[in-house]
Amino acid sequence: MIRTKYAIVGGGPAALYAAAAIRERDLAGRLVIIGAEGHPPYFRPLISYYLAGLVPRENLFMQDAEYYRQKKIEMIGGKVTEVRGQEKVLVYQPLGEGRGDDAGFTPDSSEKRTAQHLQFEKLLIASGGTPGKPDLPGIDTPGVYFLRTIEDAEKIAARAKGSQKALLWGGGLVSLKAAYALYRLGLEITLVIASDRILSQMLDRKGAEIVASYLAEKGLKMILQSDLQEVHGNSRGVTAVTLTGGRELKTDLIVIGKGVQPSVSFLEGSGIKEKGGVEVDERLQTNLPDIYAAGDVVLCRDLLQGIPVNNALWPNATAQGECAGANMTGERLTYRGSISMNAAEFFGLPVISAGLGRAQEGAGVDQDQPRKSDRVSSKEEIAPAPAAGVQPREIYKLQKPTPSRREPHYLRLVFEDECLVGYVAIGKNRKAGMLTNLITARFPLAPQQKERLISGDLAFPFSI
Amino acid sequence: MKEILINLEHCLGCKSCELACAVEHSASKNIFAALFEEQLPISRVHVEAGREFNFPLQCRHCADAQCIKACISGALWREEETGLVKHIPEKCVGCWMCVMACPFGSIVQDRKEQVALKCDRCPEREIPACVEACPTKAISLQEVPSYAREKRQAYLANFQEV
Repeated sequence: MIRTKYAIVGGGPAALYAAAAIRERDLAGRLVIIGAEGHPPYFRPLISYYLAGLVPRENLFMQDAEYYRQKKIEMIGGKVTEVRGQEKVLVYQPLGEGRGDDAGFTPDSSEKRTAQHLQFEKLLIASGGTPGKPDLPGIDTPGVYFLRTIEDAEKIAARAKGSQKALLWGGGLVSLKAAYALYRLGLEITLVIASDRILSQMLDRKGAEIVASYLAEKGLKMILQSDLQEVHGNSRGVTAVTLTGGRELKTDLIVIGKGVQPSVSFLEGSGIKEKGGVEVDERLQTNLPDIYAAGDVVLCRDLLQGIPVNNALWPNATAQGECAGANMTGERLTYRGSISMNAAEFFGLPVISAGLGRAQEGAGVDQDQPRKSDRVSSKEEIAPAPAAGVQPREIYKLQKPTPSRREPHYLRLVFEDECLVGYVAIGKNRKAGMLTNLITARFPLAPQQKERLISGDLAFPFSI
Repeated sequence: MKEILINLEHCLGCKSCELACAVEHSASKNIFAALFEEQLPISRVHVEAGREFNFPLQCRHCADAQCIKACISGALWREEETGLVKHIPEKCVGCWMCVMACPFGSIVQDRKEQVALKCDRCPEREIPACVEACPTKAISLQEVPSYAREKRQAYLANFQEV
């Protein structure tokens, strides 16, 4: 049995940032990362760029072998199957040979295939998320993929060669990034989206319309309010799908982008409290002492909603990892909470959304702001009064007219009283981070400062 | 460590720093030649001018840099020896996570190359271009304690007998 001071389950960004934070404070205590993928921590959001051939494989990894050697971070390829919280023991299944050949990663060559035990003093659960696999006739046909791991990207790339048509199931960030990669590889792209708009988790209706029409111009087909009913294939894999309503579509490959859920199944019987995500306190400790959690697996306080939420995003994972790692060494850092935020470029169009940027129009005054002459003005709509208990929101939308061949520009600001609580920025967005900071700081804006934001003047430093 | 520090009272909003920064980051490092370069040089400092006060703003090289934690490609990193936040354009994929995260809005977007740009504190120069170019010395490069001492002394001078 391995004995270690620090154990980290999961080999993603939260794991690496935690390990780095531990090593800043404690260079002596043994530190073991158990990763189920057989790679050292890598930049998961880059895999769509890797698929497209825009990023070489070696650039995916967050640190090189030398780093792990120097910091004395041991990595084991293994799938944790059980955590005994009271005994401080975990059980894992080694990945075996043939995996873990990447920089810094030690394949476990001792005893293959038999469950191993590991005794820890402090544990971090950073097992990340697992993509949801819908139950559907034909879903296991070859040619149906997720885009979650390096291996997924490689499998998709191999199938994309010699394919003409790709179908992306889902209209979220992963689907759109996969769509861009496959588009770059020369495939004809169709998105099948259950919702009535693309990026429904990120954008408001108007913002989604702007991005959708931009994407349509680039040649993307989007089928809204539709779903897959059956996948058809032959000996060479997927050939077509049937949509709800009976329509049939030919396709050579399918990428499922129907969301990601926290990987918590191995925690059954561990005594660690989870509700579809591990619950933590403000120090990122679970209900059991010395056991912490960080990253996509965590439910932690949303700064705006005040309730535990799974804001599974890269910047949150790194910040949580850093905080949890420090606390594992005995420090008492508080994690202030996270907000939902994301940035991406879709076929050349930058899109950023943070906080309650997509907050519903129904919950307050929604108006297109006719302040400056260069902005489209439209009639002011007064939405129905908010229901009892719902914080009234004011929503302002600034949109510049888009001359042909110019990119759209759209900014949506959501306020609750004197605080900015969300925004959506499409197109030029240099000052977006300042808006993000106003949200996370819960900065109370003076009336003239708010006015200035609403007029589209995002000059720094208006906080003085 | 020396920091780029700003004296708000002295900034006239002339944008000389922007010009000098762009030229420094051009291929030729010459203002006249730079104008004819295929890729027009981009300044990494931005002057907010024409409001209550003027304010030149460049990367603050934060101790707890939000941009590094947000970077999904490893393009942003901290140089241990200097403590500076550095950016490798070759690794950047132009996802703009750093733009979303930087509380100062001081990450610049090169939309043509689709990469982020930021202040690199002019590694080839002893004095950064923006500091050197500032005609009123509103931008200075100095140790924070000495800057604080100056500020204290300026404040105490208010109480001197006239």
